[in-house]
Amino acid sequence: MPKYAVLIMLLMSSVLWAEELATASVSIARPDAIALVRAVETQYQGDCSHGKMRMLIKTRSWTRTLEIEMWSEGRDKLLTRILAPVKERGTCTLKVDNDIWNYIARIDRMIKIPSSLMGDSWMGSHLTNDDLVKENKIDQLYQLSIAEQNGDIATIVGIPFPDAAVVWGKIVYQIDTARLVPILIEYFDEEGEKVRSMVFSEVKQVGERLLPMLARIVPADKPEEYTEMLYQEIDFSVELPRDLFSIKSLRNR
Amino acid sequence: MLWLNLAWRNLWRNRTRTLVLLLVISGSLTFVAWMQNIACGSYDKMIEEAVRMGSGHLSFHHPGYPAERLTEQYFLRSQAMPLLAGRTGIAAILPRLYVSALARSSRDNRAIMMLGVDFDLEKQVNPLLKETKTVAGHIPASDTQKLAYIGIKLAENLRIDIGNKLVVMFQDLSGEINSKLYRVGGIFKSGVTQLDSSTIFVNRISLAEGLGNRDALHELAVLLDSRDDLPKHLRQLKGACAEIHGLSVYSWEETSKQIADAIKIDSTQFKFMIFLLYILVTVGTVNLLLMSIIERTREFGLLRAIGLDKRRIGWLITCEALLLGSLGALIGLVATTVLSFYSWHYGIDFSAMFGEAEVAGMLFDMRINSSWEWGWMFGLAAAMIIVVLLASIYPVRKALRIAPAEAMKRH
Amino acid sequence: MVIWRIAWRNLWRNRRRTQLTMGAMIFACAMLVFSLGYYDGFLWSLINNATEKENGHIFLARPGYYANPVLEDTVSENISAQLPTAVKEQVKGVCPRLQAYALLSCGTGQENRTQPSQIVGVDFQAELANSKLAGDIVAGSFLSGQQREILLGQGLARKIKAELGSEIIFFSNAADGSIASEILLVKGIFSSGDNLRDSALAFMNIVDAQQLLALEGRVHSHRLFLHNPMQAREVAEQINDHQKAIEATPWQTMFPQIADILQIWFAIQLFTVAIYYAAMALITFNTMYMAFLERMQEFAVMQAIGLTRRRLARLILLESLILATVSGLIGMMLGASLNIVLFYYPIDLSRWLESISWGGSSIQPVLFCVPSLLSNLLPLLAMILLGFAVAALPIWRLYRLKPVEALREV
Repeated sequence: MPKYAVLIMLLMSSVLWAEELATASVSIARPDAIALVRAVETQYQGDCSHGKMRMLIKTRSWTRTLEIEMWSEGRDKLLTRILAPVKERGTCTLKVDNDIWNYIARIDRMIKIPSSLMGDSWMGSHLTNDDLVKENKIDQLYQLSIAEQNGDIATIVGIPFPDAAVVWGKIVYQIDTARLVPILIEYFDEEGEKVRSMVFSEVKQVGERLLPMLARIVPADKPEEYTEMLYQEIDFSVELPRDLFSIKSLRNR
Repeated sequence: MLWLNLAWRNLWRNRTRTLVLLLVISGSLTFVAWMQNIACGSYDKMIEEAVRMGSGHLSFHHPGYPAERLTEQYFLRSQAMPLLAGRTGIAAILPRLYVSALARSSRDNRAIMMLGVDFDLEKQVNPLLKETKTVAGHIPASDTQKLAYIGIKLAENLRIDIGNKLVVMFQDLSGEINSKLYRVGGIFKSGVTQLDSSTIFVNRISLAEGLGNRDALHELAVLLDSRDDLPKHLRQLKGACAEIHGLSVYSWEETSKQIADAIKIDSTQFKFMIFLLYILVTVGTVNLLLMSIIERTREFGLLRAIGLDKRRIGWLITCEALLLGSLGALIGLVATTVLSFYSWHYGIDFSAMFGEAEVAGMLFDMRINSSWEWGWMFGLAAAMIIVVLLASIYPVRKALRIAPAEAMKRH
Repeated sequence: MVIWRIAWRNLWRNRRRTQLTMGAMIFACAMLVFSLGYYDGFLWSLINNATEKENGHIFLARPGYYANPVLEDTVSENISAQLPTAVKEQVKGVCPRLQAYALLSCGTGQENRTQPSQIVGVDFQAELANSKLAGDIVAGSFLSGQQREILLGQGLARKIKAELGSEIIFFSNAADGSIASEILLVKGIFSSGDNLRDSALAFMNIVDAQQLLALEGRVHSHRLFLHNPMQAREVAEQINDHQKAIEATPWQTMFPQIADILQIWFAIQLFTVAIYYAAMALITFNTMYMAFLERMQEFAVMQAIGLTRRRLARLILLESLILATVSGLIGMMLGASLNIVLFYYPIDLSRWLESISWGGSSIQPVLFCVPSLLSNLLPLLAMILLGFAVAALPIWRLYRLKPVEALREV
């Protein structure tokens, strides 16, 4: 599972291989790595979602909390809006396919993020703009295999295919196979050194699904820094207005 | 002939004086003419390296590209290539793409300039893409699509090495963001900070596919066999381009304006120096001739008294100046030829003194072979003779103003 | 004293010859002074363009900031309290700077163009007094302290398609992690000759920048401008010894390439000047030597009437030295005044030539001279030495010749 997984999960935008769902759930019986990962992701399937989360960012020099409202449709459309702090209230990020637009409420203006800034931090967090954009085609990017099965916890190792446009050398993914929720994702460089990790916790029942409510991202070379994302509300049974994910609607949010 | 003979003898009556003046004249001429040969050699080298590193002697671009350098200002290879077909005197044609992008490794990311090139073509001419600049790995071959050739500083910043992954993200021609995986095939160290810290070379076709048009180019650099043919080619190609929408041709002086200006400033300074030296020579010659005339006032009075007219005495002094100038010029030319032959054949290595020099974001190696600027050499020599002749005007007039009787009285 | 009078009178006995000789020497000396001044001017403008344009002679910031600039690493706006008194006297001016990366964007909808750029917050009054930033403006005018002004590099303006008066959207992260955004208006467009710099740089008022980036009362660096740029290294050391909370970096460290180029130019200058000197020395020597040779007979007469060789030698030496010194002084004054004129009124050649970038600095096409003590005294010294050299040969001949032979000579 690529690093973008956390967002995909948090933002509920993944509708991975919905048509293959049946196959996936059948094959859970066999410990097949690909099927397992897919099964976890299909937990969060849903055409549309609407939710609120709190994002806590801690860096060397500051700590701050953002309250964010968000909407998503499929994997390609995402809209976030800052509720708090007041100074930034109304600031939106719109992601449609590969493009990211930022709407800045304070000055009522829109900016399209250029490609050269895709690696920059999104809203000051330890996520990049690129994390929002990247598609999640895990089995097309990684060769997955189950390295270890320890009770309910399966450790899956993903080695990127030679041609995949992925910077990592290896990812390690831990899944609770009983509840089908992710526990941990670690990213390694080509020398096998850990670069960053994501830890999931506080699993709750949301509708029919089990969902970790808290995700924590820690860069390995700066262990005192992290970004925490905590769901406060999440609803998969919403109807979203047709033109919600458009530049026009940004202003009216 | 008699006059020349007489003038010749007069000159050698005071050997020291004549020798010193000859030394000054021929020495100055040798210095400026030789320096001019070396300078022109270094300009040639600068231009040739600049056009190989940069945009060629002449280059095709989208008309807005040289000023704005936006990715979407591209043209098609198939538009430009027919214009060059069958054209003689062309040494190399280098198609290139320039795309600003974000390079990412697992550790860091950096804004970079990505150059899509045909490695095999570039390797033959581009001084940047030489194995001597490679510090690790190799320059990728043309048929490998996935290897990148990156600057050493960039490799350090991204903490990657040979064989490591590098993902680049860029906007394609339709404005969509695209990402592509490369592996580090080679690392170069050019010495130019900007190149070393933010440039990567990749296979042009792979980049063009990423941009969404296999045929797209930002630049088609053309190297000529001889720079002398440039005006001709430029004129013809400009004419041909006028009929094609979205395609223009530019000369190196337009695309490498800074280099052209560096040369202009340097040669202006040099001309200023020549000017000063020639003034010096003039002053020296005037001085010497005057001195010799004052010394010979009595002699001139005598000559006048025995019936030589003013014109002839003037002619005599002019002949002396002419001989002096010609002899000095001749000696100077011979010395220049000898010195220039050495510096042309063996070259002069300034790199021990200065290392490599970076000018206007390009790098120049300081081993300079002088060229043969015969026009300049003879021009400078002729100018030297004229200067010496001009310098004789005042002394001649001075000598002629002396009345014979008065002159005889003096000693 | 008598010998002085005799020497002086001797010189003026043959006025024309002395005038001629002096003329040549004065000219030579003036030329030397001028050419040295010109080369110094060239080097000075090279250093000045690198330092005074924006960087200053000494870069003061929190330790480590110079090597690795981080938005949060700031120092107090108020710097003078932190400088040792000895240093304060050397400082001509201080320019505080705030530096950040931001997205600058212009236009709306599909026409929107966004570029990541380096933003520098400057105190416009300090800049006008010390740096030459304002001189780069090619359209519009320099910052005036009004709110929401921005100056764009020419290349940057072109990239985001901004013009004078355009609305520029500023978007970045402030030092407290919050979003910094503002609408700025293009007040001016600058071009420094360095295309790379101009395509990713913008200036704004430091007060606006402090507010936007949540850094009120803080700056990233202070740029010190010194009375004498060549002292930068020493002054920086003084500051570093005095203050541990602050790090001073002299321009020599900031621009190693300029230091290299200085060396190259110094070598070229030395070479060229050596050639000049050789030519001048030969000409002067020729003229003076001839004048003495002409007078060999006269010397012989003097010897015959009882002047000892030693006294005669002293006389010749004195004459030669007087001639050399007087012409050297006059030539120096002429050359120096030419230098001074070109120092205050440089001749601008930019109509014919464009400035070129060179190792972090740029060369402006200007005929400009800097008068310095060394460039004035060196030619004078050379002239006096030449005076000795020129006197040596006749004296040597004098010692060799018998008066009778000398009388017969000529």
